[in-house]
Amino acid sequence: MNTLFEKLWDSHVIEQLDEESYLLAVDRIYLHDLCGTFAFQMMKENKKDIFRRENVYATPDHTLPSRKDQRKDACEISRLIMPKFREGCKRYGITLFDTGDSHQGIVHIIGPETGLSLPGMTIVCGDSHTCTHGAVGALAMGVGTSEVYHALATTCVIAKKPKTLKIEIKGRRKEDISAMDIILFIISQVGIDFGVGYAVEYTGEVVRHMNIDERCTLCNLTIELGAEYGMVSPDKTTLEYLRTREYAPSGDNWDAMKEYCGQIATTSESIFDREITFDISGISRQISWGVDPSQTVAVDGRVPEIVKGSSIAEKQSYEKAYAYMDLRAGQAMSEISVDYVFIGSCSNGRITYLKQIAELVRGKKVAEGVTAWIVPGSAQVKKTAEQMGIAEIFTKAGFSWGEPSCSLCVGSNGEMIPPGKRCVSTTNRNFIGRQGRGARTHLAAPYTAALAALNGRIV
Amino acid sequence: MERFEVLKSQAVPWLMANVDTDCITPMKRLLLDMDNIAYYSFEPYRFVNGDGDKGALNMDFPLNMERNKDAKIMITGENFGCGSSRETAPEAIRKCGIRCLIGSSFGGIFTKNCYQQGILPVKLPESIVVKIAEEAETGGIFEVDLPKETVKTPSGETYQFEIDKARKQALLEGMNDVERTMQYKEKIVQYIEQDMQKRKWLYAKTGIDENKGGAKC
Repeated sequence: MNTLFEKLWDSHVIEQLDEESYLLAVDRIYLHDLCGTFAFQMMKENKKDIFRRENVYATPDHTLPSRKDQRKDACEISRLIMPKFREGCKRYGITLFDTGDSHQGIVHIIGPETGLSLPGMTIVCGDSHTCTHGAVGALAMGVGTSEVYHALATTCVIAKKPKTLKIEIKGRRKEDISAMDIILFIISQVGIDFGVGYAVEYTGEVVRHMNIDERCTLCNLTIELGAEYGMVSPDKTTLEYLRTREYAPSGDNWDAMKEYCGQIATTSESIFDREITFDISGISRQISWGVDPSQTVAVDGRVPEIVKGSSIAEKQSYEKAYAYMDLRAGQAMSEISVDYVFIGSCSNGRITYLKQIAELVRGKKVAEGVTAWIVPGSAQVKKTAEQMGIAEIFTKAGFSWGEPSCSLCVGSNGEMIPPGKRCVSTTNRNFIGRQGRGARTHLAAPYTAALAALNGRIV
Repeated sequence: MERFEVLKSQAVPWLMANVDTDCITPMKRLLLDMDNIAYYSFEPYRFVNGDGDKGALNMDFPLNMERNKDAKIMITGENFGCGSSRETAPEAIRKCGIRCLIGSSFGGIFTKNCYQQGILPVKLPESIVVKIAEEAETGGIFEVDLPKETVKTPSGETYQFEIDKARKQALLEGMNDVERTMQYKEKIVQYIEQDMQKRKWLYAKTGIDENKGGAKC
């Protein structure tokens, strides 16, 4: 029996190009301000038009500052990109959720949230975290600019068929353990190239009990395992989540989609090329110490030492990490003090997490000397948090509350961590310079990030 | 896209593992300095203290070395090009004059982007990569033969590599993916027509499309 991934792949094949490469039909294309603007440029240079404009949606996220006063294109990059992005959307007749629109947000948040990302869809976006949309049972892939251009011009993508990898997550999850802790733990166990050449499907009791926000977090960080696809088979939770979404089908169409979900889901008879199981009973909250997401330990752990018998490459990457992060082997994580905290991004800027940390933050204060930002992932998340009174809890505690944007995750909107400063961040990449030149990033779940903000150190 | 057949050149060895695309083209540079992207590529490694604004070159970084000035081949560490999907990474590498990368593994999206930029990523076993990187230090001429799918080292050792047929063809012809795909236009249209029957809900207009939800440009 085929897996979810294989069923979706096979049903979208237009042509097999060679032993491994296929031409696949694309059901949905998302454009953000960076990939969109660059792809429009290629469309113009090559004098092409869009094959099916009705399956393309655009929203700005990467170059938008999250600071309200800087929102109106005050940052240099935004001033450069946004007019071209808007002009392109207009020229090609693409639906744009612009700033101020109730649907605007980080593209990987708004896809599932609006119901534009549906089970069984093939989805393409010029961003490696497109795998996020796999959380609703879609086959979603991150691609480069040329491929976005290709998808726009042909409504197809050329892709190499990966092998399938089942990651089963089982065990008893401690209350303070978030999806982010689980996926960081997995990456720390297997490394950042474990998934290269595979499409990952997450299964097991822990995943079944996760809501869609949490499944989005798992799928989001799949690319940090080296795999280009992360997904979860659609189930009751998926359907319940989508039922009320604005763009989700209704009436007979809803029933037809529901039936289809049953057909595409992986079953106990589906065969994967590779399987691995993680028991997460007893794991503690996780935090990265180094410069790639696999360099992660428990918050109550220590900066690891180079073990005897390590390869030259391993040694080299540890030494690079110690130096850049200004840490020494054996140092307790809880000794590390923090200058900045960032809660947001396509990994964790969702309402589930804001609700969770609101309880922790209520009535407390951000520690002196810590700059703490919470940036909701979408206009919808922002509105909900404000209506629920959560935003007020955060601002009263001394967090600054922003407008939907990629903000401090990516260094493309003027918002950056200053050189040498240390930030606990709920994002997905702690690469050298990712949050700004010389910035030191510790990846963690929103709960851990909030604790760091309140205590001024890793807790 | 420039065609790729047989490439004869020195090779730059740099076996740093897990070099991510944020390092190859930092976001700030690809947004504000795209005209000089080759100069700023690998900024954290290329410049003293990783600071391209001060401009002091780190002369230990292989691409900065005088003897590697004209090299068209780079020998890379494992999982080279992991991370972000930015296509500017292989674009910058191409603008550094590199047309071929030889390594034990590459990031998945990066690999696809290399082909779009006319760069050939050659995968060889790690032990061989280490060996030929040592040989590259001597500055001899390597020969990468795409039709034969071989890498010949200066000492005459020859290694076979594998490449997808479609990718190979595209590199050999310097062919554009969009033109190639449009050969299947009829099939694409046919697929959509059939799918519209099979998965009606994907094509159904929701009330939202008519009334709210985004500026109809």
